Amino acid sequence: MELPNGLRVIFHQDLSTPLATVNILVGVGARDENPDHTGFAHLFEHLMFGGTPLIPEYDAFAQSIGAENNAFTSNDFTNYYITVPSQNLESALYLEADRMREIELSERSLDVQRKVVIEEFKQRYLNQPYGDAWLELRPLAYFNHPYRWATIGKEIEHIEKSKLSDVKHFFETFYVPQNSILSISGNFQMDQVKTWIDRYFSFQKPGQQNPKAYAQDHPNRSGKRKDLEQEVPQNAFYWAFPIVGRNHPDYYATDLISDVLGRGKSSRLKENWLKNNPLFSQINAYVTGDEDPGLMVIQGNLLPETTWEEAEKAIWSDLHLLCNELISDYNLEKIKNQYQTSQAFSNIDSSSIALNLAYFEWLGDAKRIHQEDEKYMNVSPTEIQRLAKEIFNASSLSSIYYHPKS
Amino acid sequence: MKAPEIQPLISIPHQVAKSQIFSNGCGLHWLEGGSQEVAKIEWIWEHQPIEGIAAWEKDLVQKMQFEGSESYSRKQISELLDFYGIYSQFEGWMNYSSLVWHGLTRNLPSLVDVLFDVQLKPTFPETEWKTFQQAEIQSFHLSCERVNNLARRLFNQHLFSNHPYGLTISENGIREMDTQRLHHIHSKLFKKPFHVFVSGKNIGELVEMIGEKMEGLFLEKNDNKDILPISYQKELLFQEKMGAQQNCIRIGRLAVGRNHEDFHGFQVLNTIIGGYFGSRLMKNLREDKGLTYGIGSMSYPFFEQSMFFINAEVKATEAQLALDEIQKELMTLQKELISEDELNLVISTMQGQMIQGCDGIFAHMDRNKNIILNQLSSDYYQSFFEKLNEIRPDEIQELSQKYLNWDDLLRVNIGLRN
Repeated sequence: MELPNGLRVIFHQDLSTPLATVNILVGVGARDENPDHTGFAHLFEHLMFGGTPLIPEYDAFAQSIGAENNAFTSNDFTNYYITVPSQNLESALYLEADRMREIELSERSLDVQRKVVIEEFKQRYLNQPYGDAWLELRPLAYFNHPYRWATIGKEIEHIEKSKLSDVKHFFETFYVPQNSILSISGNFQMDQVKTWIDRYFSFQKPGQQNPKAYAQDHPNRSGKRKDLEQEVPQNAFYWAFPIVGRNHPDYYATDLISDVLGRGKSSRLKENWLKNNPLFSQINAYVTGDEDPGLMVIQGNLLPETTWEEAEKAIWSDLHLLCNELISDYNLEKIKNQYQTSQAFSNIDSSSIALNLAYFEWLGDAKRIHQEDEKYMNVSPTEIQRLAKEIFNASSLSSIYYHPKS
Repeated sequence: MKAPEIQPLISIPHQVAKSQIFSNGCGLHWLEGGSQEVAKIEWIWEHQPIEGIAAWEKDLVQKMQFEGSESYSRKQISELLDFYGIYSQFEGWMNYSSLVWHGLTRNLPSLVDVLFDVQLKPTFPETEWKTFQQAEIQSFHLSCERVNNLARRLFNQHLFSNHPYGLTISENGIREMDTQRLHHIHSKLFKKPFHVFVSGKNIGELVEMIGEKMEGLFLEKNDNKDILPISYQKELLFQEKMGAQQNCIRIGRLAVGRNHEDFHGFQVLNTIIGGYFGSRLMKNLREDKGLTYGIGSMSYPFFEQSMFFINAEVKATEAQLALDEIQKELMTLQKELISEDELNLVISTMQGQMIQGCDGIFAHMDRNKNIILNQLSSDYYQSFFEKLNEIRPDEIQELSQKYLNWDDLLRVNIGLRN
């Protein structure tokens, strides 16, 4: 349903659980940031826990109702969830609606959260080998699109210079009902929950849905390479090929291509180059799955005796095989089976159901949650081959190569 | 707008699993339910500490079981698991090993035979071991670049000095390991009675197949409980890691086990210190001073003891300040009574966490698992839940005085010298 203020609401009832989840997806992510003030959407997510005029301590309120809650920011959107024992669902709705309506922003809380996010930056991206891979890879793989920076931000300085006035503007522009999706899953009575939503979420706030207009990159752009000499234990590489976005009909076959290459121990890259003819200590392939055109990434760490030439030749031989030969029915069935298992397991607990519903609604239609399976099952060997030929172009490959400091 | 009334948390739902214990000492436990056609099979071996066998070695043995068994080659095993869309996952700690298989219920019966062969009849082929060993050495090197791993290892070495739990992984250790030793450890730890927990939807056929297999096994009984006395070192240890942007601090001790009268109170104390987002340490080090992305504490019971520790990665140049603040918070708990308000918040948080742990059939099975393996009464969780309401502020203060003296703690700091 949709409230008069533009908030879209989705329900999923499950009377077998003692819990209920309130999930709010806000249609703003790192791609909406100013290139000179990156990391802002994520920093802002931290500030959403800083209290409101009505509820000064968000966490204390959440704890008093036995809640488990958290949030994350992606390049595309920001997601908040809270799971409570179902008898306190009304309190959870009250709490979440309150901070969506108004938050208390102070220099003091901005100052502390800046420091916290800088420590997060170090912990996740800087203080471990290869931790900066995505910071380095994005600006090579994207030229114009704002995916060229990571959600944490381009650099620590961007976070340091964030201003309170920007924070306020961001909240007023993007945190509006028209740009948000509320999903509720778990144990509740429909009539009752509708009354509560009406009571707490009907507030008016001027604004509009994020038009999502971003500078796009050419799909056949030529890639770039960067060599990094760092305190890392082994040679390692990250390769990125441009692929379609999450809503494109080719997305499903593209996703399965990365599975053929790197999902499970028997996948081609893992079987061939970790086990059969070991050249790497680890190797992976995956797609980003962002809304706008994204990347297929192949990443590996070389064994000490492996030369770069051997490593590259090995990977390319598997990529070329996908282009030159149809994948067997057996191989395709195998990766579809793997997909089905992970799909079934991702719809088990009430918080992931709520997130999945909100996500598909944000992509266009919550009902898609039931249609994805068919789309994956319909992928054919010829489609895989056609897409492999489109994707695995040496000229569009962007890459980073890590070399240990001697 | 007026806040809705908060509803008290009164009880936690509990679904009781069915069990069958075989004469060879193995136990099979199952719980039917869930909305998706999926199932989870978890194998658990409980281990007594054995002189000279390190936890990392048993982890290697477990991973190597997939590299070939009497009836299946490595390649067959990985093909079969992947074809049927089965995800396997190792878990475990020093005192137990666990292997979990997730899959669609209809696919799992085809794998039961493989499962038993892999678990009980691994062959540890020489060539597969060489490849595995090589990759393992690389991943060890990689792990040494993270302050968190370095802190955990140094902490365990000194918390469990003179005990097998204090034996931590090293490059030499991996190099010296061979297939003979893999076989030796496997027979010492894994050719022993074990438990299997099966949960999910429509699992009847699966349970029956597993039961038949288990019943016919001949396994050597576990050795008598021979728990070596454990003492720990109370000291401050610093290890330099040049160029670190964050230091890792790990502070803790051995404390009381599940059957000790202080145990429940200590769980509450742990939550106050670092067991939830609003904990004393989070409030001070993160939300007030911005020294860390996250700081937490945990209390992990094993046998008649438990391991308690605080862990955080903190701004490298201010690691000393972080240590001082942690000390200050522990001293405050010793000197001042916790307010009723804060204690109530902690209790509702813990009770909430317990109810959160009842979401879905797998979560219910985890509860049963804990009850069965630790020989707890079936109303353990409900009675713990109720006991929480009886905890008083002065008990918290007494426990702090008893267990949190700064000089009684093992304190590890890895990173830059301040």
